[in-house]
Amino acid sequence: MSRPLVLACVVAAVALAAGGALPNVIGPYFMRLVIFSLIYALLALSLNLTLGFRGELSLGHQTFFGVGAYAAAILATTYEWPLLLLLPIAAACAAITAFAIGLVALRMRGPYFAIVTLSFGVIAQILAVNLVDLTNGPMGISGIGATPSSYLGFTVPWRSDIVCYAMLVILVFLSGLITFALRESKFGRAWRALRDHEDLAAAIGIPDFRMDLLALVISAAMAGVAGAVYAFYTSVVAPDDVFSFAIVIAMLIPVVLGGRGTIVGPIIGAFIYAFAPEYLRIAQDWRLPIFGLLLVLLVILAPEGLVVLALRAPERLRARFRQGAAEARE
Amino acid sequence: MLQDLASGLVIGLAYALIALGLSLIFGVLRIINFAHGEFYMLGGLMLYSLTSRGFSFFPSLAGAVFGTMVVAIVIDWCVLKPLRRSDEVTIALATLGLSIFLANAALVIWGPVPHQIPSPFSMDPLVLPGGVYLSRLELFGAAATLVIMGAMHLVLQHTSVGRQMRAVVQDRDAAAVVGLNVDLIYRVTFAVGCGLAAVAGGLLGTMFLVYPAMGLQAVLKAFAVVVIGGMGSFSGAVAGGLLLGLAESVGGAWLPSGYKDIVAFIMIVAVLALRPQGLLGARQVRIR
Amino acid sequence: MLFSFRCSMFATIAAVALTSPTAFAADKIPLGLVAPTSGSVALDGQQQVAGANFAVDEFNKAGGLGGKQVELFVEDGECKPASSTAAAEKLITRNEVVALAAAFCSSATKAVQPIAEKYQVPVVNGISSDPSLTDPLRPWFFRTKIHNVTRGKYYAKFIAEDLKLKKLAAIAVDDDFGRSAVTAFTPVLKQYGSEFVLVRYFKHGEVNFISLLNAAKETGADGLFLVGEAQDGALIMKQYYQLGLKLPVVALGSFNTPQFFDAAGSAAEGVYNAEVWGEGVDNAAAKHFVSAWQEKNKGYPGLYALSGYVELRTLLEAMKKAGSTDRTKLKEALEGLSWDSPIGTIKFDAKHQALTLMFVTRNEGGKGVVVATFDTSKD
Repeated sequence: MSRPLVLACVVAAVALAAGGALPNVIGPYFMRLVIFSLIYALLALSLNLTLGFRGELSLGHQTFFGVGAYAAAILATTYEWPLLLLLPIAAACAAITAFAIGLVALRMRGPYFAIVTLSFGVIAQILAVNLVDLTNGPMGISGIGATPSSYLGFTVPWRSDIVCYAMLVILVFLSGLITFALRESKFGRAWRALRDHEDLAAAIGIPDFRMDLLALVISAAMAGVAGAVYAFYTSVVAPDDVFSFAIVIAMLIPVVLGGRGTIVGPIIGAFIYAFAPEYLRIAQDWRLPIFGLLLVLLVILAPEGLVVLALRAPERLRARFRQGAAEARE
Repeated sequence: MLQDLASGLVIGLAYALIALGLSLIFGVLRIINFAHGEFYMLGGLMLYSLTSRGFSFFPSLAGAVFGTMVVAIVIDWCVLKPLRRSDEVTIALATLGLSIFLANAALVIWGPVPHQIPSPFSMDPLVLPGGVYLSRLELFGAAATLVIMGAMHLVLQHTSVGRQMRAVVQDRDAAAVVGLNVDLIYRVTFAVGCGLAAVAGGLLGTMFLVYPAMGLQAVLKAFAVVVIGGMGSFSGAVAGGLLLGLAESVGGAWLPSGYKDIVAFIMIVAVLALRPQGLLGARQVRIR
Repeated sequence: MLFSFRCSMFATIAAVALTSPTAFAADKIPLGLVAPTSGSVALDGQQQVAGANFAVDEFNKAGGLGGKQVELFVEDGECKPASSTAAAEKLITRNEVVALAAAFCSSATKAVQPIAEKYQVPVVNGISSDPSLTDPLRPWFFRTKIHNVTRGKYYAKFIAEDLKLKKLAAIAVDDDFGRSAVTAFTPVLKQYGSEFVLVRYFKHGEVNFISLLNAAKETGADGLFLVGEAQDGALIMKQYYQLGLKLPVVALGSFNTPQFFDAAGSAAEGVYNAEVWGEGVDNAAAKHFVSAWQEKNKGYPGLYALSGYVELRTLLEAMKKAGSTDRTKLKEALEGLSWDSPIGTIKFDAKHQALTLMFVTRNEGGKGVVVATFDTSKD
């Protein structure tokens, strides 16, 4: 196995093991932040697939997040199914939604694709508000995950911090793995080709529509899973919360901050995004404007992302140092 | 029914005004300004700031529009200029970042509580034939929009500035080759486009409320209008705006309440699925 | 080297991230408030905060609890379920509040109730009107405000018999507050021979009510029934005049608050409202509260200032009675509490619901003048 892969496994294992003790060490408030960071990380990885790998700006991923959240919420409160069972269901619902949306939206390119996906996001929100019999409308669905499940004599309280944390660590790890595998596979190569040289790729016969649809569907499944965990953790889903544009921002900033197309970047970006308000306490109110400005600056000056820049900095410094030493010798 | 139509037309004209700016910016600069709603918002909030300090309405409106255009010029110079030759997704991300920055900075500066701007006209409604009631402000708004549209049309068709803009729309590189200052034209166009949004923001803000998040709603409606009418088409923006205003108003009366807002987005999806270039759009949207 | 660099970077980030002081001064008693200080109900939410702070200041000036001062922490619930639960969790886990008041809107309060149960923290509410909040009983939740079924009993009768309105068009906010109002009033109206000929709901933050008002106009109703808060209410009334409507308006919500008068101006005139407060409430506790308030602040304390005051004062009275800040003792003190508030005696029944006075007011000259008083505890 390659070095990054080993490192990833080690980090995941450590994170999982630490999970038992973590709430006591850092307290419930920070535990909440960590869990939200992980949810954002999942979302960022999901958007990364479409935006980073395929280069398509989707402003509609909140639709998949929301669909997953509502699917989990409705089934959990009606049938009391446990989270574990609901994860694949949420993923499937989100994937089906993505398939349907993709059939229409993927015929567009660039900004038009962005506008259409954004529109679907708004439609989803309005539907959630109005289909009161299904979704309880603006009142939202509350009390999700109230009943723990029993397996072999162990009760698993689905809403507890430790359980959610453990599930999220595993999910983020798996998503990272899947993303990595996809990137190295023929799909990843096809996506890169389409992103960087669209017409050329089409000319050599890469089935762009089907590739795009695949990227969107897998990406949606990840977002849907994030939604399901979110529903259980916060125990409340409401239309103007899970379908809001704020989710788009929460996905976009980690991806661009961390580095589009990389895997570690968006994850770290997600943690920065979640923890920033704690440390910019003096500039608390200015957090979002600063992030907006950051986004603009990044796009202009460092499109590969801040985190990637930082991680590669020592290499570049070493190279420059070596070069300087070599020149000095002459 | 007539009342619904009348109210719908008035709102539709306002939508058209916002969309006009967006369409203009797209036509000349070839970018989709995701921050367009924020310029709409700035117009409204600046108007509120000026009127609440005691300045009278119309000078304040002019001041708000001017102030917004200044902001637009600065943004074009700092953000859009470095990205002139970048790809669409990069520029879209940049304008999204701007949108986030402006909307949230406004939240800090003006606070989250919505504000009212007192109307410069009396509150007595005007009764038109057919039992249609319109407020004087609505009538003024509609008239002002028509005047502005007429003026824009004249400028584009009959002035040197307008000719230069149209030249850049046709072929940016050719225009540069014949010596036009393309960068200046971009800047002017962007400022004018944002200024139009600011006027709409001031008018609609006075009719309803002003608050920092008002931009998101507006830009979504603007997108709907330009998609329906055709991106880059002047008359398309007008037609699209009226159509959307009417559809929403009539829909609001007949559809179950709450579905009124969905009209715009269903129309976006339908148009893009069936006739991507919009009703009157000439520009080819790249499709598969 | 890259490997170790990444490792150390990660470790530093983690270390910095996870060490942070909790905000809790050991010699102050923390109480919490989840209120909508932003969004479409912000005008009213900010009044609630002002009222709550007033109660805390009053208590602290009188010596606090055995010399210990109370500190009020306020978090923005935005009147939304998800934000309110996050706010409540933050107050409980971060600020470690002894008890809290939450969350203004019925839907948001509903979402906060399980949090109270989860952490076993007493939660008091003086604003939400959805009947189901106290039915079934939630052991840690207490409500000082009468709910929509109680209100319907008296107000619907008033509308049908005193105002003689038979065909009402209802325009209500689309949440638990608005919907439960319509549901609660329909059967009582029917009992007295009246009905809703139109029922339409609007979302929080809606600004354009022309279509709804026009629809109401076209049904030939003889009265307009509105459910909403200051911002929506003001916009509705302004557009009501814009459309040349002349129907009597009976409302539920913020329609007699100073914020409503400010926002609606002359459009507020003549509107009826049924709430636990109005201008000219003349029991001793009310008079005392009003004059104390007017000494410190300009103007008459509106409904939500009063509500915030009652919510916090209830918690403080319970704390005084229990003589401790232990949450369980506080809960027990609340269960047996009886204190004379500006809106009547606050005493909780078996479902932790208080029955107080209700006033029907009519807006005259920028004031919500009391035209009828009902004592809901007498039934």
